[in-house]
Amino acid sequence: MNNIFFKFASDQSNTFSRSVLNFICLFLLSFAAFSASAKESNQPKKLVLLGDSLTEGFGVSKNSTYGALIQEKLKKNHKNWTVINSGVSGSTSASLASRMKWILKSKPDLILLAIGANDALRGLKLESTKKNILEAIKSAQGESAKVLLAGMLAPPNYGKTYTQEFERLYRDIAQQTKVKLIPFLLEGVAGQKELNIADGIHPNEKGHQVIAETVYKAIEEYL
Amino acid sequence: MFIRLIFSDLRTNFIFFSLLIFNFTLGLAGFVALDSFKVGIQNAIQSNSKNYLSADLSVSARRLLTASEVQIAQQVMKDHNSGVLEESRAIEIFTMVNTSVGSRLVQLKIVDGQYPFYGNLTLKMKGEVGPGQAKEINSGPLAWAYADLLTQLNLKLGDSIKLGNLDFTLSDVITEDSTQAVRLSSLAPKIYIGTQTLKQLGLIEMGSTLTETRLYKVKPNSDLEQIKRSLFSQYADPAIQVQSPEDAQEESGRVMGYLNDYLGLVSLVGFFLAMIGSTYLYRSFLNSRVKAVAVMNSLGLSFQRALGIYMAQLLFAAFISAILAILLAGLMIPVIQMVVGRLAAIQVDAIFQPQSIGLAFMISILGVLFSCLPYLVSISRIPTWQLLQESSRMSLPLKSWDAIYFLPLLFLFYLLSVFQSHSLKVGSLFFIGLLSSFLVIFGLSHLFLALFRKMQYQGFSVSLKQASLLISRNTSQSIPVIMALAMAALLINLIPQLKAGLLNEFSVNKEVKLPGLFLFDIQDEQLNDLEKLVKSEGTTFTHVSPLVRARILSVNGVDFEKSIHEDTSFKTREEEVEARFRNRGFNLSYRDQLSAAEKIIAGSFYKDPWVEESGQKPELSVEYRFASRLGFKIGDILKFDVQGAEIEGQITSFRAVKWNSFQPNFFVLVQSGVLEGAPKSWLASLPQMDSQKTLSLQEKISKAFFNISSVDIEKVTHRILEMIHQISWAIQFMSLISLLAGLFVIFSISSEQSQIRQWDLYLMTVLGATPKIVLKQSFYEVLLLSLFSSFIGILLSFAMAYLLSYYIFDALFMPDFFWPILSLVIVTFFTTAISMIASRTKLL
Repeated sequence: MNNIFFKFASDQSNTFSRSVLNFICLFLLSFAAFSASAKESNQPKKLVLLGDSLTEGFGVSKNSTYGALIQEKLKKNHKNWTVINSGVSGSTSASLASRMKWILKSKPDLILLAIGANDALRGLKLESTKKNILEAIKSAQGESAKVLLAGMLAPPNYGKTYTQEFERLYRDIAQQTKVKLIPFLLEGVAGQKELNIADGIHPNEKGHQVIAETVYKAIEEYL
Repeated sequence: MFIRLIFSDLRTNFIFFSLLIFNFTLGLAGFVALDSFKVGIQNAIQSNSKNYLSADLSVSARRLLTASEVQIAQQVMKDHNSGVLEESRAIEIFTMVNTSVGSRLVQLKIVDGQYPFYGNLTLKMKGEVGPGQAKEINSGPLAWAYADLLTQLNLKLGDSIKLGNLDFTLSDVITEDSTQAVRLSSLAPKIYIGTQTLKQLGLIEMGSTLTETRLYKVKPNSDLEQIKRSLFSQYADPAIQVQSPEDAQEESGRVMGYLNDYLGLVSLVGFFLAMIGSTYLYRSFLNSRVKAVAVMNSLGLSFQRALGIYMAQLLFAAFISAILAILLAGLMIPVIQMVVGRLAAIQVDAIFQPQSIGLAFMISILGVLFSCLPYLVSISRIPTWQLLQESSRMSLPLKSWDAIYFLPLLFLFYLLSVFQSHSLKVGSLFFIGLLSSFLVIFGLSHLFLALFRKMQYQGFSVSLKQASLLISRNTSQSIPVIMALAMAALLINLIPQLKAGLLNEFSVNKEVKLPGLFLFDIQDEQLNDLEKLVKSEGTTFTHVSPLVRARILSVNGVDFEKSIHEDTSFKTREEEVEARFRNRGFNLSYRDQLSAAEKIIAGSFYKDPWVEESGQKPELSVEYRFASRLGFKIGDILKFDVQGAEIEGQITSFRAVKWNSFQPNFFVLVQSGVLEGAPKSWLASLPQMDSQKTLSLQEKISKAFFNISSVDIEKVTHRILEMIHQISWAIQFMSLISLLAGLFVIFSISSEQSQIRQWDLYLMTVLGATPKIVLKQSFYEVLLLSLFSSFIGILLSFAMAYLLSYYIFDALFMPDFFWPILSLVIVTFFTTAISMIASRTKLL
């Protein structure tokens, strides 16, 4: 009997020990998981603005670009996001392949693709612009990054045919890739003398504030 | 009575006055000729610049100008052009041209019937279209297109092309366009159409990217810079650009600036040569008349009256000399033009400027009054007992405080320096340099004469010893000669010294291969394939550079960019322009070595790639003009934002890039090993080829790589090189002319000097010296004086050329030893020969 008790006791004792051990392990695991998740939730998410001189902020200081203004607003609204400005003046959609590869290394959560204005200004063939943007979106989606597409308009002096086709290009891409489209990045800014610098093409400080509002509204659902 | 006295004395001393007038005339004629050639060259080169702008002045914006902005321009032009308004309108846009073959980007220039005011378009069918002849394209939907567009779109004359909402008939082909500004940004072939089609075209709407330009013609010789300032003062919007012909040429505008400053200096040299010659002669004349004034005074005539006679004579001689100088220059100019005509790179029409003529009179007359002032003051101090002394001439009893009476003359010199150079900076620097040189020569000449007095002459020939002693003891005669000759030698040598640095700046290193085609927006993954394509066409890149876009965030920890906040704005137009420049981002590049077109002008260029473990910051090499504009120094630490990543580097060298090598110029080169992994594009250039091959290669590249744009810069490089050739020629020519003008002055000084020496020669002969000994002594005397004077003048010319180059020509100083040696020989030979010829004539 003693043996049985003992055995029971011993069994009980073993069961208890195991339970304690299990509990400790479970606690430790839960703690680890909790700390990991807490740590993860502290890690800011990344928004990369992949664009041209409009994004780079040609003529305005870094702090006045729409990227910096969005960052300020995110901070004000207690959103733990980091905005990375990857605007390159003069860049066309042809640069997307290598630039997308580069930014995907930093595992962005959201990419704002705001490119194509230089393609229009240089009268590049629209098929190639479309192909470049499509491929860039696909490679981002392949890495599970969300993409937001900012549409551009070709200036009216490029003629009706070209400007209409150019506008349609962004709609087609958005439909094809099922990404959200901001119809026109420079909505309310293009052609407004008081919102652009002397070259009439690039937004000034006030113009960037308008763009920041446009883009912030569009990204709110991803925050 | 007074006038009779003046003329009777003139008649009595007819030969003396004739010689004086002759000497005055030579000095002034050199100045008038020099000034006329200067204006001729300025006009010839400026007319080229006007072609590029097609006008005297333009007002433009990268949008449509508002009615009130146009009204401001029109009012200012009327105010400066006697109420007359000559205006033309041009709008430039990029658009797509559609034909049956396809569509492509073109640069559309929409002009009215007044276009162009200057320059020509050469058409295949109609020949040259000059000022105000662009009427045909304003008579209907007609277009003139560049020849390469016809090849690219397989078009022929009479074909229809669609621009905007309208169909145009291709009525002619442009083979040459002298109104095309010297710019490297012509991305697409150009088409000209008339403004009357503007409304139906339907391309100019809200949001269109365009440049509207109003072109203005003003009456000849208008002060364009002043009109430009008037316009700028009325436009607060930095979007409005006001351009003069020089501004239309981008980098070559700097060369034009150099040329203008150089010509300003040449003119000052001419002016000061004439002034030095004249002042020397005035002083000499007054010295020669001291005794006569004293005699008249002792006979009861007041000093004022006696002096008045000689002042009136001097003024009369100066007036006659100015007239003769203008006539002589009038004879010299066609002869010089004829001699150099065949060699000339430009058609120079030397024009008599009212300004040159006025200045010639001013130098003569005002120069007389101001340069004589100290002597007039001192002349009344002459004691009558000096009349009893036997001497060739009496020296004026100048005291040291009489120097203050030179102040009005110095002030006049300064004002005329600024006026003549059309620049406060150039005029002031020149005046300060010259005044300092004058004082140095004065000090050195006293030192030189003192040394001669104290020297032991053992082993020297008697003639040499006598000559040295005579020079050193007779300071009142020697010092003015040394001053005049040394200043003349300085001025003669100054322009060739400045010339050397400028010509070196304009020359192109033979190792530099001039590019014909620029290719840009080449992506990393396209570079190898593009290189293969280029090789398969039998050519290779002349240059390939990576381009990495970056912002400068801080310099030595201080914010670099200029921010404005919501409630503030830029205070001035200049402040905004500067802020936009700083905030626009820059292209960085990297490579291991300098190109053949670059040189380090401060610090040292990095040798090896950067190693992270070294603990050192990556080294930066900055283009020196960029560095100077932004106030960078060697050792400064710059922080960049390279598309989200921050990197720091330290400036270790400043680079100069030979701009006329047409190689890509990067403001900042970063030590290799830093930026290789950053996102980048490439810029490449191809060598010059025949136009058909260039066109075919451009087509092949654009078919294989849609995004790569190519810009044909061959025509632009040829035009700029031709302009540089003309400017270099002008610089050399003016240098030669200034030397000739200097020789005239030296001749007049030497000739006057030999007159003064006559009395000494006679005295020595009377004392028993043979003519041979007298001549030998006279030879040594002149040789010593001229050798010392020209040597000092030449040495100082190096210092002054360095000073002027440093402050005016961006330190483009390069010592040239050929001209100094040549001028030393010429001045010494010239002065000695003139004196010896005069002495021999008197003695033998």
